[in-house]
Amino acid sequence: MGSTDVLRSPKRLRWWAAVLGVALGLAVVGCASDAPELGGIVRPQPLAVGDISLPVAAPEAADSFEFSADEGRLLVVYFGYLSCPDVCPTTMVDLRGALAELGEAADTVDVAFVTVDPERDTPEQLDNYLDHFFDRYVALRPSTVDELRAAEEAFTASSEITVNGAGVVEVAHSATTYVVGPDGTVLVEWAFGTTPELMADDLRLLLGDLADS
Amino acid sequence: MPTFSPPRRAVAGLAAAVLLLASCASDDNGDDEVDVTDGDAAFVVDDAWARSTPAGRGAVYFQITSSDDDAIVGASVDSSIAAVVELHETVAADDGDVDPSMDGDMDGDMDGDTNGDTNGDMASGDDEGHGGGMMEMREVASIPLPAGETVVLEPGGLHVMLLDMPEMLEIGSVFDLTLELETAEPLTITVSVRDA
Repeated sequence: MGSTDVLRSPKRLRWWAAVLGVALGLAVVGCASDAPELGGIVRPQPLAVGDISLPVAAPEAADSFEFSADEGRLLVVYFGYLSCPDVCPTTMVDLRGALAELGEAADTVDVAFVTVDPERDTPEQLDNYLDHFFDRYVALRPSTVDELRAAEEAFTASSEITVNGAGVVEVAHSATTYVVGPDGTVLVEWAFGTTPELMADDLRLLLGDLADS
Repeated sequence: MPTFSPPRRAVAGLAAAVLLLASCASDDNGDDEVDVTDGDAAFVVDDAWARSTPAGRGAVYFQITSSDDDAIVGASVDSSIAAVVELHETVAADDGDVDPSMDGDMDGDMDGDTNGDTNGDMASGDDEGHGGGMMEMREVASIPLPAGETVVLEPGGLHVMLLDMPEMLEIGSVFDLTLELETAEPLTITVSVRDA
């Protein structure tokens, strides 16, 4: 067969050897970076959110909360609203599951919930809602639309509140969960439906990185 | 329709088989519910649950298989659970086919095909959330139940929405949910409240 002959010719052999070499090289490079990788979305250019701050509504009111984790800690941020029966509680429960899986390491992870519906979500309701899911949390409640939009923009989050023909308030919102590091950048993002296991793996990995640095 | 009797019976037989399988599987969580209405149509409802959420709003999920073509056109619960019950779907907001006219359009004759596309989305499983993608809920007039097909109501997709819930749904409690169907008699299923 012609093709076999071609393979056997010295020139071709050298060519194949080169291809093999490159492939091996790539494989080695692949192995070198084979340290566990984050399962969530990582942007080549991390989002900088550390300059943004919002008022704290619960558990205790405070003027401002900055979107950066304390040293050696991670901050998980979610934009949602209380009258969201499906997507928000699903994410909250997934996140709670991830923290449970982390065990003691969960003590180094903080949770911030930003309401995109501050008009309807009162501090008391926010407190009650988050208390249902977490031991420790911060409820952030923008005092103006501009404040909300500035925070959303930094995270590339979005929300829209409309009143339909029947007078029912409808909220559309991005349902991504963000993990912010002590440097005030988003280290990883989880789309809706990310499993608690994947979240826990990512958090473990990021906490390990923080401990190493 | 008399001419369709034999296949219909076959489907009913199949549904019965599924029913048996489902009852075996139910050993795991024990909250599966199976109901059969009048001799004509059979329904298999599996894994009906609601997440324990604070008072306000909640959602009910389940899987349902009907032996005949039908559609869920409404739902109700005791007012101690929720004052208003609606059929909803969570969708990626940027898929563009939001139809506001659908809201509140619960009376009048119901065309089973109205939400044909809804069904397609659902069969293909979860819409994977996209980074930054907006999600929104919309009310649907009906949830089609094509004969023999298992329709799944799940987080991030179709669900029965509970509004104006006076109390928190307590983990481990159960409540009845009655589904209004386009053709068959209303179907009452038992919903378990979970922490999941």
